Amino acid sequence: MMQENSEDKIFQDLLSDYSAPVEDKGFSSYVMSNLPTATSTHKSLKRAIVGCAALVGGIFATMQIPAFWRYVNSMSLPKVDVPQMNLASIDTSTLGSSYTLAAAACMAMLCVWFASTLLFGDNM
Amino acid sequence: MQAHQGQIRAFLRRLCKNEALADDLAQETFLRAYSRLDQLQDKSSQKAWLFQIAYRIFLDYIRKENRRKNIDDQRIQPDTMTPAAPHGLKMDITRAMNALPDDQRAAILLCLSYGLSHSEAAKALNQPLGTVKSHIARGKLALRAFLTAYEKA
Repeated sequence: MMQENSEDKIFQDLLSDYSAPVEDKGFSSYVMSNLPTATSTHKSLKRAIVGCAALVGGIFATMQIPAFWRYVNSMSLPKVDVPQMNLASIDTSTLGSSYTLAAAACMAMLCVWFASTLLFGDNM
Repeated sequence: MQAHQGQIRAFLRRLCKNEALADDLAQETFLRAYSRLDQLQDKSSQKAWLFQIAYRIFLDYIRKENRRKNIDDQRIQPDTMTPAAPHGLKMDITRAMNALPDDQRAAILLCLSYGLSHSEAAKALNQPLGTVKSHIARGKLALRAFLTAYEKA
Protein backbone atom coordinates (compact mmCIF):
# COMPACT_ATOMS: atom_id res chain seq x y z
CA MET A 1 0.00 0.00 0.00
CA MET A 2 2.76 2.40 0.99
CA GLN A 3 4.73 1.39 -2.07
CA GLU A 4 1.71 1.99 -4.26
CA ASN A 5 1.18 5.43 -2.72
CA SER A 6 4.80 6.40 -3.25
CA GLU A 7 4.61 5.16 -6.80
CA ASP A 8 1.46 7.21 -7.35
CA LYS A 9 3.35 10.23 -6.04
CA ILE A 10 6.16 9.57 -8.53
CA PHE A 11 3.65 9.34 -11.36
CA GLN A 12 1.92 12.51 -10.18
CA ASP A 13 5.25 14.33 -10.20
CA LEU A 14 6.07 12.96 -13.62
CA LEU A 15 2.72 14.04 -15.00
CA SER A 16 2.66 17.44 -13.30
CA ASP A 17 3.81 19.27 -16.42
CA TYR A 18 1.88 17.07 -18.81
CA SER A 19 -1.41 17.69 -17.05
CA ALA A 20 -0.76 21.21 -15.78
CA PRO A 21 -3.93 23.35 -15.79
CA VAL A 22 -4.15 25.82 -18.64
CA GLU A 23 -4.04 29.53 -17.82
CA ASP A 24 -7.36 31.31 -18.20
CA LYS A 25 -6.23 34.13 -20.52
CA GLY A 26 -9.76 35.39 -21.07
CA PHE A 27 -11.34 31.99 -21.65
CA SER A 28 -13.80 32.28 -18.75
CA SER A 29 -14.99 35.74 -19.70
CA TYR A 30 -15.39 34.63 -23.31
CA VAL A 31 -17.51 31.65 -22.29
CA MET A 32 -19.52 33.78 -19.87
CA SER A 33 -20.28 36.23 -22.65
CA ASN A 34 -21.67 33.36 -24.73
CA LEU A 35 -23.99 32.02 -22.05
CA PRO A 36 -27.68 32.08 -22.96
CA THR A 37 -29.35 35.13 -21.42
CA ALA A 38 -32.79 33.67 -20.77
CA THR A 39 -33.57 33.76 -17.07
CA SER A 40 -35.67 31.29 -15.17
CA THR A 41 -38.51 33.85 -15.01
CA HIS A 42 -38.55 34.07 -18.78
CA LYS A 43 -38.55 30.29 -19.06
CA SER A 44 -41.48 29.95 -16.64
CA LEU A 45 -43.41 32.66 -18.45
CA LYS A 46 -42.74 31.03 -21.81
CA ARG A 47 -43.81 27.67 -20.44
CA ALA A 48 -47.05 29.12 -19.05
CA ILE A 49 -47.91 30.96 -22.26
CA VAL A 50 -47.27 27.94 -24.46
CA GLY A 51 -49.19 25.68 -22.08
CA CYS A 52 -52.20 28.00 -22.05
CA ALA A 53 -52.11 28.41 -25.82
CA ALA A 54 -51.96 24.64 -26.28
CA LEU A 55 -54.86 24.16 -23.88
CA VAL A 56 -57.03 26.81 -25.56
CA GLY A 57 -56.11 25.46 -28.99
CA GLY A 58 -56.91 21.92 -27.91
CA ILE A 59 -60.30 22.92 -26.48
CA PHE A 60 -61.15 24.93 -29.57
CA ALA A 61 -60.11 22.08 -31.86
CA THR A 62 -62.13 19.57 -29.84
CA MET A 63 -65.19 21.83 -29.99
CA GLN A 64 -64.96 21.88 -33.75
CA ILE A 65 -64.97 18.12 -34.10
CA PRO A 66 -68.80 17.66 -34.09
CA ALA A 67 -69.22 20.40 -36.69
CA PHE A 68 -66.48 18.84 -38.76
CA TRP A 69 -68.11 15.44 -38.42
CA ARG A 70 -71.48 16.84 -39.48
CA TYR A 71 -69.82 18.42 -42.50
CA VAL A 72 -68.18 15.15 -43.44
CA ASN A 73 -71.48 13.33 -43.06
CA SER A 74 -73.28 15.92 -45.17
CA MET A 75 -70.97 15.26 -48.08
CA SER A 76 -72.48 12.95 -50.59
CA LEU A 77 -70.35 10.59 -52.53
CA PRO A 78 -71.32 9.36 -55.97
CA LYS A 79 -73.12 6.10 -55.71
CA VAL A 80 -71.20 3.19 -57.08
CA ASP A 81 -72.94 0.08 -58.06
CA VAL A 82 -71.13 -2.82 -56.44
CA PRO A 83 -73.17 -5.85 -57.21
CA GLN A 84 -71.09 -8.29 -55.15
CA MET A 85 -71.30 -6.45 -51.82
CA ASN A 86 -74.19 -5.37 -49.72
CA LEU A 87 -72.88 -2.21 -48.04
CA ALA A 88 -76.11 -1.58 -46.24
CA SER A 89 -75.40 -4.56 -44.03
CA ILE A 90 -72.37 -2.82 -42.42
CA ASP A 91 -73.19 -1.37 -39.04
CA THR A 92 -72.01 2.26 -39.05
CA SER A 93 -73.49 3.28 -35.75
CA THR A 94 -70.17 3.03 -33.89
CA LEU A 95 -68.01 4.62 -36.60
CA GLY A 96 -68.90 8.17 -35.64
CA SER A 97 -67.68 7.90 -32.07
CA SER A 98 -64.46 6.06 -32.92
CA TYR A 99 -63.57 8.59 -35.63
CA THR A 100 -64.23 11.41 -33.23
CA LEU A 101 -62.00 9.80 -30.62
CA ALA A 102 -59.22 9.20 -33.12
CA ALA A 103 -59.37 12.79 -34.35
CA ALA A 104 -59.33 14.10 -30.79
CA ALA A 105 -56.34 11.90 -29.93
CA CYS A 106 -54.44 13.15 -32.98
CA MET A 107 -55.21 16.75 -32.03
CA ALA A 108 -54.04 16.14 -28.46
CA MET A 109 -50.80 14.51 -29.64
CA LEU A 110 -50.14 17.39 -32.01
CA CYS A 111 -50.67 19.88 -29.21
CA VAL A 112 -48.33 17.99 -26.86
CA TRP A 113 -45.67 17.68 -29.53
CA PHE A 114 -45.90 21.35 -30.43
CA ALA A 115 -45.76 22.48 -26.82
CA SER A 116 -42.83 20.20 -25.92
CA THR A 117 -40.88 21.30 -28.99
CA LEU A 118 -41.28 24.91 -27.97
CA LEU A 119 -40.53 24.22 -24.33
CA PHE A 120 -37.61 21.86 -24.50
CA GLY A 121 -36.26 22.45 -27.99
CA ASP A 122 -33.12 20.40 -28.67
CA ASN A 123 -33.03 18.85 -25.20
CA MET A 124 -35.74 16.36 -26.02
CA MET B 1 -16.02 28.03 -13.82
CA GLN B 2 -12.69 29.78 -13.29
CA ALA B 3 -11.83 27.20 -10.65
CA HIS B 4 -12.11 24.30 -13.08
CA GLN B 5 -11.46 25.70 -16.55
CA GLY B 6 -7.71 25.12 -16.35
CA GLN B 7 -8.02 21.41 -15.57
CA ILE B 8 -10.88 20.83 -18.00
CA ARG B 9 -8.99 22.49 -20.82
CA ALA B 10 -5.77 20.64 -19.99
CA PHE B 11 -7.68 17.35 -19.84
CA LEU B 12 -9.29 17.96 -23.23
CA ARG B 13 -6.02 19.14 -24.75
CA ARG B 14 -4.36 15.90 -23.73
CA LEU B 15 -7.23 13.89 -25.17
CA CYS B 16 -7.59 15.84 -28.43
CA LYS B 17 -3.92 16.67 -28.94
CA ASN B 18 -5.11 19.91 -30.49
CA GLU B 19 -5.35 23.07 -28.41
CA ALA B 20 -7.87 24.99 -30.51
CA LEU B 21 -10.19 22.02 -30.77
CA ALA B 22 -9.82 21.32 -27.04
CA ASP B 23 -10.78 24.89 -26.19
CA ASP B 24 -13.85 24.64 -28.43
CA LEU B 25 -14.87 21.44 -26.66
CA ALA B 26 -14.17 23.06 -23.28
CA GLN B 27 -16.43 25.95 -24.18
CA GLU B 28 -19.14 23.52 -25.20
CA THR B 29 -18.59 21.70 -21.90
CA PHE B 30 -19.27 24.80 -19.84
CA LEU B 31 -22.24 25.85 -21.97
CA ARG B 32 -23.78 22.40 -21.56
CA ALA B 33 -23.01 22.40 -17.84
CA TYR B 34 -24.71 25.77 -17.52
CA SER B 35 -27.82 24.59 -19.33
CA ARG B 36 -28.00 21.50 -17.10
CA LEU B 37 -27.09 23.13 -13.84
CA ASP B 38 -30.36 21.98 -12.31
CA GLN B 39 -29.24 18.36 -12.77
CA LEU B 40 -26.26 18.85 -10.44
CA GLN B 41 -27.54 17.51 -7.15
CA ASP B 42 -24.35 17.23 -5.10
CA LYS B 43 -22.23 20.35 -5.39
CA SER B 44 -19.24 18.58 -3.87
CA SER B 45 -19.05 16.39 -6.99
CA GLN B 46 -19.08 19.40 -9.30
CA LYS B 47 -15.57 18.68 -10.58
CA ALA B 48 -16.33 15.06 -11.47
CA TRP B 49 -19.58 16.20 -13.10
CA LEU B 50 -17.71 18.69 -15.30
CA PHE B 51 -15.17 16.05 -16.30
CA GLN B 52 -18.05 13.72 -17.13
CA ILE B 53 -19.60 16.30 -19.46
CA ALA B 54 -16.21 17.09 -21.00
CA TYR B 55 -15.44 13.43 -21.68
CA ARG B 56 -18.87 12.85 -23.23
CA ILE B 57 -18.42 15.85 -25.50
CA PHE B 58 -15.01 14.53 -26.48
CA LEU B 59 -16.49 11.08 -27.26
CA ASP B 60 -19.30 12.69 -29.27
CA TYR B 61 -16.71 14.57 -31.26
CA ILE B 62 -14.68 11.41 -31.87
CA ARG B 63 -17.79 9.54 -33.04
CA LYS B 64 -18.71 12.32 -35.43
CA GLU B 65 -15.19 12.44 -36.77
CA ASN B 66 -15.04 8.67 -37.14
CA ARG B 67 -18.17 8.91 -39.20
CA ARG B 68 -16.44 11.37 -41.45
CA LYS B 69 -13.53 8.93 -41.78
CA ASN B 70 -10.85 11.55 -41.40
CA ILE B 71 -10.14 11.28 -37.71
CA ASP B 72 -6.63 9.93 -38.13
CA ASP B 73 -5.57 12.64 -40.56
CA GLN B 74 -6.92 15.30 -38.25
CA ARG B 75 -5.36 13.95 -35.08
CA ILE B 76 -1.94 13.22 -36.53
CA GLN B 77 -1.59 16.78 -37.77
CA PRO B 78 1.01 18.61 -35.69
CA ASP B 79 -0.47 21.21 -33.41
CA THR B 80 0.92 24.53 -34.56
CA MET B 81 -0.54 26.30 -31.51
CA THR B 82 1.76 24.52 -29.07
CA PRO B 83 4.13 27.20 -27.80
CA ALA B 84 7.22 25.10 -27.18
CA ALA B 85 8.11 21.51 -27.79
CA PRO B 86 8.98 19.63 -24.61
CA HIS B 87 12.49 18.33 -24.14
CA GLY B 88 14.05 15.25 -22.57
CA LEU B 89 12.00 13.52 -19.93
CA LYS B 90 8.97 15.76 -20.55
CA MET B 91 8.93 14.85 -24.19
CA ASP B 92 9.20 11.16 -23.38
CA ILE B 93 6.38 11.42 -20.83
CA THR B 94 4.25 13.12 -23.46
CA ARG B 95 5.04 10.36 -25.93
CA ALA B 96 4.38 7.63 -23.39
CA MET B 97 1.05 9.14 -22.41
CA ASN B 98 0.01 9.80 -26.00
CA ALA B 99 0.73 6.17 -26.81
CA LEU B 100 -1.95 5.08 -24.33
CA PRO B 101 -5.51 4.53 -25.57
CA ASP B 102 -7.88 7.45 -24.93
CA ASP B 103 -9.79 5.80 -22.10
CA GLN B 104 -6.60 4.73 -20.28
CA ARG B 105 -5.10 8.19 -20.69
CA ALA B 106 -8.31 9.78 -19.42
CA ALA B 107 -8.44 7.48 -16.39
CA ILE B 108 -4.79 8.14 -15.51
CA LEU B 109 -5.25 11.89 -15.84
CA LEU B 110 -8.42 11.98 -13.76
CA CYS B 111 -7.12 9.83 -10.92
CA LEU B 112 -3.42 10.66 -10.76
CA SER B 113 -3.37 14.27 -11.90
CA TYR B 114 -6.74 15.76 -11.05
CA GLY B 115 -7.36 13.91 -7.80
CA LEU B 116 -10.61 12.14 -8.61
CA SER B 117 -11.36 8.91 -6.80
CA HIS B 118 -11.74 5.71 -8.80
CA SER B 119 -15.52 5.79 -8.42
CA GLU B 120 -15.69 9.44 -9.48
CA ALA B 121 -13.54 8.65 -12.51
CA ALA B 122 -15.77 5.69 -13.34
CA LYS B 123 -18.79 7.98 -13.26
CA ALA B 124 -17.04 10.64 -15.31
CA LEU B 125 -15.93 8.13 -17.95
CA ASN B 126 -19.25 6.28 -17.84
CA GLN B 127 -17.47 2.99 -17.31
CA PRO B 128 -17.69 0.31 -14.62
CA LEU B 129 -15.43 0.77 -11.61
CA GLY B 130 -13.50 -2.42 -12.42
CA THR B 131 -12.81 -1.24 -15.95
CA VAL B 132 -11.46 2.07 -14.71
CA LYS B 133 -9.22 0.32 -12.18
CA SER B 134 -7.99 -1.91 -14.95
CA HIS B 135 -7.28 1.10 -17.18
CA ILE B 136 -5.30 2.74 -14.41
CA ALA B 137 -3.33 -0.43 -13.68
CA ARG B 138 -2.47 -0.87 -17.36
CA GLY B 139 -1.59 2.79 -17.71
CA LYS B 140 0.71 2.60 -14.70
CA LEU B 141 2.29 -0.51 -16.12
CA ALA B 142 3.03 1.30 -19.37
CA LEU B 143 4.44 4.30 -17.50
CA ARG B 144 6.50 2.00 -15.28
CA ALA B 145 7.94 0.30 -18.35
CA PHE B 146 8.70 3.69 -19.81
CA LEU B 147 10.48 4.77 -16.61
CA THR B 148 12.55 1.59 -16.50
CA ALA B 149 13.56 2.06 -20.12
CA TYR B 150 14.37 5.70 -19.46
CA GLU B 151 16.58 4.85 -16.48
CA LYS B 152 18.47 2.26 -18.51
CA ALA B 153 19.07 4.67 -21.39
